[in-house]
Amino acid sequence: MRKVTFPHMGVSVHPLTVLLQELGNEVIVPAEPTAGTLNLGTKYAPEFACLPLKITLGTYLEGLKRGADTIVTSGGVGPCRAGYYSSLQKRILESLGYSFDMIVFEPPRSHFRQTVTNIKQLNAARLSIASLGYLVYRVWLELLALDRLEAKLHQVRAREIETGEAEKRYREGVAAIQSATSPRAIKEAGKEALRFLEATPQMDRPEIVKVGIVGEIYVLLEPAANLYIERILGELHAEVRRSMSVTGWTMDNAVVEGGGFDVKKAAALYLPEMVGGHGQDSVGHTILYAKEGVDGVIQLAPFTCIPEIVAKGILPKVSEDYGIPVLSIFLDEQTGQAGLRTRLEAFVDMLRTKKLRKRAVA
Amino acid sequence: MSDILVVGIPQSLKYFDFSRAWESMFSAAGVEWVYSGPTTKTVLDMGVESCVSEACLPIKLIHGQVASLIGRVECVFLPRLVNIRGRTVFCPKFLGLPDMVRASLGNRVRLLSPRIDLRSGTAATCLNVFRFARSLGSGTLKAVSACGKFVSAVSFDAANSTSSCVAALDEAKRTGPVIGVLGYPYLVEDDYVNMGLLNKLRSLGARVVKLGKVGERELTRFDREFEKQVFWYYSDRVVKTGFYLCRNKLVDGLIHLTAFGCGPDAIADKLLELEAKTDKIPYLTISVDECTGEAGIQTRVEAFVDMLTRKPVRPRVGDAKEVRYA
Repeated sequence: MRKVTFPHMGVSVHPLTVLLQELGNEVIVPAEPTAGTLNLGTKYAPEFACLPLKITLGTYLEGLKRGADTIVTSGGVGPCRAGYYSSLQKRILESLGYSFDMIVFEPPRSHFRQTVTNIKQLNAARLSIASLGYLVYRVWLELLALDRLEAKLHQVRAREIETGEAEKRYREGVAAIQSATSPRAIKEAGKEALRFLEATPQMDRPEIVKVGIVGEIYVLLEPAANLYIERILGELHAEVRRSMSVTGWTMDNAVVEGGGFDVKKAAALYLPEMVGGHGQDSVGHTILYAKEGVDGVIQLAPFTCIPEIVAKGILPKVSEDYGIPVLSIFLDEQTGQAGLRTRLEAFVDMLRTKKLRKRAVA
Repeated sequence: MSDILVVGIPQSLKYFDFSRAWESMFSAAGVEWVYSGPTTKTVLDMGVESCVSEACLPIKLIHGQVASLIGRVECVFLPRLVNIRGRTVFCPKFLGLPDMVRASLGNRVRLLSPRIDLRSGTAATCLNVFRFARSLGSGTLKAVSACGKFVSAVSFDAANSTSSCVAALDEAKRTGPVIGVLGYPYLVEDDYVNMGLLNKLRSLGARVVKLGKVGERELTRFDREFEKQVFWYYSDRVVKTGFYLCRNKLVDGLIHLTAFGCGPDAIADKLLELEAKTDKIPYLTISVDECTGEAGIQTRVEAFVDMLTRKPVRPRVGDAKEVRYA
């Protein structure tokens, strides 16, 4: 039986664990990345590699130490570096003396045969295509439910009366969704969890500002990588809108491949070229947020992230043209939470003052 | 618009590889051009002012060179290079460069940035160049001749390095160590940026092997080596050249010259480092940025060359039993 591990990315961990277990593998569930994970990754990764490479390398090392013999991960076709992670990480881990299989899922439409081979390799239980379809459907429902619940949490947290109440309810909801096994039970649990979360005692604060978060996918979706920025913002009474979710990304990249047309269209005037990663999306989402009346945008990216540097070069112009404040934050292994908090406080204060002043004039 | 248009060409990034192609294109189109001139401190400072702080040195530098052309010319030529060979593309910063420059300096100068992507076929590229030449005000005939000149120059430049490195090195009577200096042309060829690294090495008695010394055929054989080809044009060449030099023990030491924060180099550097380690070739990474001091580089280079000189001599090229490939 294969002992499989994979990168830890936000809410996707439990659904993927279920998927791989049902396929007949033993899953070494990746632990939530800690400072230790990052240190481990940083030790062996190239100095100027971006944060996601370092964190995932650390996660793999932890998994291999716990006995994993197979790593399942995503590939990519460039020009973002993330597409080359798997090859480089394989070489690095092998140079450290580990032996393991690396199963890399490339975009399925352009790498169809490879995808089929990968699934066969992982399908130790020899599930039929129909049961595979059922399994994927079930996992998808769970992902959807978790994504929705997380998005709701970002709204509710800004209004909760007692700090931490929303998150407590969120965790209960997550546990309920995760313990459900049939599609119907998952849907039910998802609805119930949403209701329960909405019932958090809240008050309508006039000072609430809406903040959109754009940027690179891994630091957006993995709270441990962005130092729990959504929680900090929620505690500052900022309602968070995030431009990306696991399900949304999967739809755009694995199912449709090259989806997200409205975003690309919005960005076309400023950045018509696909620069890889989410550079174009960052620009496009910022424009869409500005049109939707979001008060400010935070761009989150790992230090040295190439597409986001291009986006950062363009965002000041967008900010000026659309009158939307943009704060770019580049994260690396040196970033501390206190420093981040100070910057966020200042940013939210500025947004709030701007909003209240505008309201006073109107 | 005046009759004779003067176009400014920044003398960095693509200049070192493509200046010949640009020149033949513009002269065929009947357009005059001026270069921004070699890098100086002033130019670099202008770039640092107008560019995002996270960008790498060469990107800051080209911002500076565009800025230095403002007032001297009506428009600046800054093509969007996407692909010129095989399936490799250029670094995302190259792809988004015209947009970055437009966002920061766009209101002060007009940018000409035709998209060059040979994946879409020679015909499509010709059409692009033709439209571009027409937009500069040249007649149909001149525009046609411009695309011919341009396309032949680009495809020739990409394929011209066929001379074998082995022969070139063999005939050299060795006095000092042979050192491979790998890095992108805009770092290795720009003496201001690399603080005269090549001359420093040569004055220490070393012989320098650069990118382009290994033939195209030798490089393509390394395609099998990687489960995935390195995506970026320059990085792909650097990595393969490094692998070739290491595998065949053609150099005594390898220096990888990189810009601080260079994205593709984070990958390329590690690949080269792992390979050099396997082949027991001493390996040094020198990264430069706008704050790099010359003394620091001097010290590191001297130490590296000293170490190579004291190290027992590598097996001579002729002694290598066979040339190893993947």
